[in-house]
Amino acid sequence: MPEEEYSEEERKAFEEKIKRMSPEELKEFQKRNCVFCQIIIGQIPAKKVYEDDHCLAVLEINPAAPGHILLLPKEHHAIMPQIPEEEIGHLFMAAKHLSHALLRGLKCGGINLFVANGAVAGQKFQHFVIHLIPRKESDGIKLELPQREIPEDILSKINEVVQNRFNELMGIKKELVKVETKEHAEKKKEAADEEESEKKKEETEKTDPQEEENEDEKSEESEEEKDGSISLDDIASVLNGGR
Amino acid sequence: MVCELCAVAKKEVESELLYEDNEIMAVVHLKPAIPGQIIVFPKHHYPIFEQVPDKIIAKMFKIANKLGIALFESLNCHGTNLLINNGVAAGQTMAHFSLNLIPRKEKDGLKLQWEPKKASEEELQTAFLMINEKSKELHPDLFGREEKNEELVEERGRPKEIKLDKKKENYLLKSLKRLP
Repeated sequence: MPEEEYSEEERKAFEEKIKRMSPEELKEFQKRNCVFCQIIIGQIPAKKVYEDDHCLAVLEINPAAPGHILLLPKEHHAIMPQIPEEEIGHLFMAAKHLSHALLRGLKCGGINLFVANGAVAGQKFQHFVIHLIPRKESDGIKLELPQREIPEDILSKINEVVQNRFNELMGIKKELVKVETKEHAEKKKEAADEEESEKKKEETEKTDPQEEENEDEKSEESEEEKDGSISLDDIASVLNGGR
Repeated sequence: MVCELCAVAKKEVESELLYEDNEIMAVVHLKPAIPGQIIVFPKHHYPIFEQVPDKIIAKMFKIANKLGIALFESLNCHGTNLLINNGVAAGQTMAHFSLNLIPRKEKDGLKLQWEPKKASEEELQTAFLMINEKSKELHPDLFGREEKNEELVEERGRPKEIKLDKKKENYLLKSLKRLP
């Protein structure tokens, strides 16, 4: 899209106009300014490799490799979370068949299916797009995932927080209880009880203040475990600091 | 050779399980590119994308979408990637089809990108013709008929099995079988 320069006044007027738009008007506005919506309605030409009521697949004109396909929903959605479930199922079914055709038609060594939600993830267009990229050995395209060693407790914590949110979204009523912690605390208590009884047999006077200390420590520790010794900040720092 | 993901599906190894039903599973990746990376896969051993039935594909991506939202909201990341590496040349490391969901943040050190190239009209046209020809040959129902859009919408409901020509598919599966 060509970059146009607006004066300060024009820009302000423009912003006001957008704020006052109804959802329908906003949608129309997005469509008029979206290259892909223009392609969908035939205003901009493109090489169409597949089309149905719900989606359209065209060849990317600045491809990672010739044959690079852009598969998009006909409805204007910016990111995957905004797309209705039915559409998701249909889109990726089409993606599979297109991938198959691409693989056999170009006789390439593999296909990458790539989706980017958000600029940080590499989203280039305002309209949601599934990239289908034909691959060959040593083609210089960086779509491989490296592997890193991450501490188990961080992964467990990630599982817990993501699963809780996921269950909410799915309407699954399942409280993620820290079973390990409870068992752990119970085992600790058993072990401590055993120790206590042994110590009582040996020394009666000296162990009393010690027992109290042990008990205090125990309750502190089990509280810590309930709160979660790995905080989201820890995960965040791993996400940030990792290279 | 035991397939890693089959072992996870059969509960022969431990995993950080996020979601499971009769057909698919989602777990936290234990050796992720970015912590929080999720791997979603069918329990049945399908080596490549094309062999997975439509019904399972639809389910995998619907679940992946919800997991993506959960990732975004619970880990406070700024974006997500969904990536399939189909075929060794595309970076497939396990001979069991799967998709990866990756939480992204600015400057997280992960590079998933390519240099856009200027393709000539000839190159584009050649690719276009080859794709069209092959797609009509492989899936005449889907690609051959432009008038029958309404029927297509109903056909969606039926799971479609892809009957792969065994001679043609060998080269891709052969390279997968060579994976450690």
